[in-house]
Amino acid sequence: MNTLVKANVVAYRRRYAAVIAAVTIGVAFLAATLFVGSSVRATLSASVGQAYQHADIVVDPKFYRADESIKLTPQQAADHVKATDGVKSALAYANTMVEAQLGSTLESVYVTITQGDTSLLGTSLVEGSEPGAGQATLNAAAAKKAGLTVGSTLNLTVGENATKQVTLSGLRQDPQDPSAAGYANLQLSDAGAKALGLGFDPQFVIATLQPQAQAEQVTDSIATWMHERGLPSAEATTSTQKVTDQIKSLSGGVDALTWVLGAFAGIALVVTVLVVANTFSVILAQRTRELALLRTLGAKRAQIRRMVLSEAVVVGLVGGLLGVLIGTGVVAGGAAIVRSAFDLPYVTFGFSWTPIVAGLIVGLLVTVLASLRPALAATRVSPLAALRPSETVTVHSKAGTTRVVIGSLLVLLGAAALIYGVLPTEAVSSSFETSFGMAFLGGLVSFIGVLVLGTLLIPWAVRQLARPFGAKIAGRLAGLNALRHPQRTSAIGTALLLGVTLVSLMLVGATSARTTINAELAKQYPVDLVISSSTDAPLTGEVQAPVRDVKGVASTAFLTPVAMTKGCLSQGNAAETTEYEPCAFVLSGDAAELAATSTNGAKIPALGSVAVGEYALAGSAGESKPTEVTLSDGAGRTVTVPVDAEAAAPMSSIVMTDETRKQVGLPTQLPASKETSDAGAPGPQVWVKADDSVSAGPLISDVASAAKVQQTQLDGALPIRQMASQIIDTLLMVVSALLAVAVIIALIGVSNTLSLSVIERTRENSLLRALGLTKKQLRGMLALEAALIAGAAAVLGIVLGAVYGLAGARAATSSMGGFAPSIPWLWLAVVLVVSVGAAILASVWPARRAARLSPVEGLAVE
Amino acid sequence: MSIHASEAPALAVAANNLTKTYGTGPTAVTALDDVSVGFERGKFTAIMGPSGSGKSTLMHCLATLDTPTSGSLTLGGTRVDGLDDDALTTLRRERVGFVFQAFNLVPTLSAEQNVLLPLELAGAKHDAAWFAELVERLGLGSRLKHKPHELSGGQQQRVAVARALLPRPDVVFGDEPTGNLDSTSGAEVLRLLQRSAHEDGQTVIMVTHDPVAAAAADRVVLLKDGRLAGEIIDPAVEQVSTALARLGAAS
Repeated sequence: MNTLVKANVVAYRRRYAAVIAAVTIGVAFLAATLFVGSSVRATLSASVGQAYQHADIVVDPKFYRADESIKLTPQQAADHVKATDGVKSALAYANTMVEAQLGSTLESVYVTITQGDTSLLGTSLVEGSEPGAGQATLNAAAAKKAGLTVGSTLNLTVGENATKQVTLSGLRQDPQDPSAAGYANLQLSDAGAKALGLGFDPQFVIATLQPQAQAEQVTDSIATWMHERGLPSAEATTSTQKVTDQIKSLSGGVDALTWVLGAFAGIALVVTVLVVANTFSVILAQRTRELALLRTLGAKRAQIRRMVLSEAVVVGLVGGLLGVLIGTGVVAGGAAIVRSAFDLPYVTFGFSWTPIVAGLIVGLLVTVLASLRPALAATRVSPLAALRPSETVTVHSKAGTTRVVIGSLLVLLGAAALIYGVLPTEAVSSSFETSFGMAFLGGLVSFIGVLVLGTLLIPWAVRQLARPFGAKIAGRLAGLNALRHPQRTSAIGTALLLGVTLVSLMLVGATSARTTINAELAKQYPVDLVISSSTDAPLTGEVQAPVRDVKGVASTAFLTPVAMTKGCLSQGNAAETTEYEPCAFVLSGDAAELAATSTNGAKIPALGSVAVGEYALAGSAGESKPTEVTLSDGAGRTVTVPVDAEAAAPMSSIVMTDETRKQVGLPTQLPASKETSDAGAPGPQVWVKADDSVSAGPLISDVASAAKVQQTQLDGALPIRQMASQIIDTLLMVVSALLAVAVIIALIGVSNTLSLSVIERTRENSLLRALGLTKKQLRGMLALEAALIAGAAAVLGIVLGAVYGLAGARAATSSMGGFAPSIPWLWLAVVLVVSVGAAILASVWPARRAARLSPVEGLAVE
Repeated sequence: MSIHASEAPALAVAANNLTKTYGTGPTAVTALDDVSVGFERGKFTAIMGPSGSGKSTLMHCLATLDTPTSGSLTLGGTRVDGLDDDALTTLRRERVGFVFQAFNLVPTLSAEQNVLLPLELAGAKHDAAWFAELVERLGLGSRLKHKPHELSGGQQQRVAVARALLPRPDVVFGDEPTGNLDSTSGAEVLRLLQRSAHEDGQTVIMVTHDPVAAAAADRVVLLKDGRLAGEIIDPAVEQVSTALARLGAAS
């Protein structure tokens, strides 16, 4: 049997290649995920561990937590450690920062002051000698950067403008600790520090032990001694324990990262199982005669089953091995690239056997699990099947009733939870956690239901899609062939559906979340950029033209201050006021210009009313905005104008249109007076709307120079809006890339299923060629078949993903009030085109093979 | 008596000096060796010969499924040698019909769809009256909506015959059309082919190794070692058997 298994895997290697590819990608993903976790941990341990690499124990007295009974000085505590039984040598040290002249720049440097055995310091000397009085050592990289060598002098700024000189006595290794690695690291002896006028109180003590000393006993005795003398939080631990503790406190994030990545790897593996199971059942169906022949020759059912499972084991091992190799290579290579490209020497590839063993086991399990059902089906082959003609018969199997019932129940249950989750919070009075949790759970349950119903849904969708192509015979045949084995089609469609749904979910969800956030931002910051006048040079309307010409500017508006609230008047004679009234100024501009510069979603105030910024009148009676506001023209006249609650204004301003200003009879400009200048009246403003073709930083400096103003005179929502968009875009890109792995595996499945079907139908395709199907029509027919399967799954996936994405974004932003659904049609179209395009591309090779075969050869095939 | 294509415009198919060689150099095998043969319109011809005589290769070449190494071929008055694959495919679906030993119906299509398939491939309309008559003649009326796997072998082959006859091609080729059938069904299929030749003027060329089947034809062309080895007009079963035996014995 073993020779047979080997022969089979070799003989069917082409057919098994796709299975191996799918397993490889899934396992590589998993192994890479685990290696990322172990590498981050190794990086941490390399960086944290360096400080303690020469020490046996670490003592941290924690003087900042000392209680009232403290009678010790830090120096006494350090001296006690040195004098403790079993301690061989000790080093007390403290860290501080000073300014130093390094090359041409004055920088903050990280200073370590040492007392005792400096050979215990984590960064060993690489050149020269330990520092004495008037001397210092520097880490090698910083010295090289600043052009300093042993013997160079260095200016330090200690205290108020006191510049002191030290000579470099030696160079040390570069620090790996992320907190110190950003700075130049300078080491001084305690004597040297005192000479410079720096105080020294030992913060930490590290020590080596006598060979016969018990580390735990020594640390316990030191800790107890300190606890009894007013240092209740003092810690004395072995250095290995210290490193472990520090990593633990830092690595909570690592575990979360591993789990999140692991979830995506899990999705990829689920898709792998679907693809592998399907490919196995197709391969075995095509080998029915061969298996039957083995049965006639005396193979028992158990032997057939064992043979098939052994083939799965071989395939799973090969795929798992390749996957582990690729996963390891990707992370190791990635770590090396990050290390050299970003100059982060402490980035380490953390090798561990866990990812390798886990990858191999998962690869094996996935393949064997996926092959169980096909293997069982294979054992049901009767010996007689070998003797019957191998006419492939289409059997329209009905989807099991149980399956339909369970699937429908899950969908209904999930949909109910989903709807509950997205209902307005007032209706169900639930917190964000419950509404998002319910929506998430509902989505999950209903999606599992959809996958269970896949055997109905996918063929249905294929049938609908195939309809328009039925007019031509090649199109009709493509549709019929796509549905010839409904199980195969739905298995492979389901795999693709899974990936596409998740990708679409992320796209729609993220886009909707972004528009919702943007809409909320627009209410608070209706203007991208505001250019304010400086006190000595008020802006004029003439700056509008050059600003408008700046690349990245969509439109501008010019606003002048025309009125102020009563609160501004009272500021002049504050003694008389009993009640605080806020002071805000009214800006007026051309209605069309204002409309053109308002951020999408922000409204300008209606004729006859004003828009009030979020904080313009805050603090006045009550938190809510007033319904009307009384304004003074600065010349003794007041008008009361209603507030347009729908319209938006920058945070501390009140805005009206020129038309409103004329209607209520305010002047074109607030007259300059002592009163207005005391209240801090702003000059005219220019509002700028960006077209998002240039990022905020460069745009602000371009606009500032075009308007001939300081950059500090520019303000607005643009930087925040762009940053929010960028964060969402980056997250979306990363998540989509991770999910794309699942889609790729599914597409491998589509390609494989199609090429196996083409092999299976060699005779039939040759018949069609003999009857007059041109090569082009044959290739078109096969491409259409692939496109129909992928298209049906992609369309279903996109629709489902859009629904889930909208629901998820709605639930996630429910606390923000307004919800602005948005569907990224372009990206969804890209998903559809990629899925269908890749499927068509995958059909090219089998289709070429089928077309190349002459009808005579093809018809001769059994 | 060999007939040359140029002399007889009444020929449906004419082959001149057809040679087909497989492989090159010392391993080359000559399947057809300078065969010139014509097939009259409206006649039912059987091609016979021992195994390896080249009868299948000849048929494949005549049917444009295979391209001869050299020689010329005229099908329905059109020179076909030298045409490219697309042109051959188009010509085939308009001028040639096939009946195979293994029936070769498309399993996803019903009997009716299978019959209409070649015309659909050509994008042509079918003659409804002719379709009705064929269905009637072949006794397929109640079976039109059935899928191939729901039909008996004889029924499947009758569907295949209808498929070959419906477009009224210049020539219908039969490749051992009775090889997979019991004698009753086989006789039935032969009668149908005979009738279409005699009543409808349909040219039929059939490859067979069964003297009984060959005796149903108007003429038998004998082949041996890739060369013509004589012919029998209006053959009887014994005549054919004797001729075959002689060809076999001579080798």
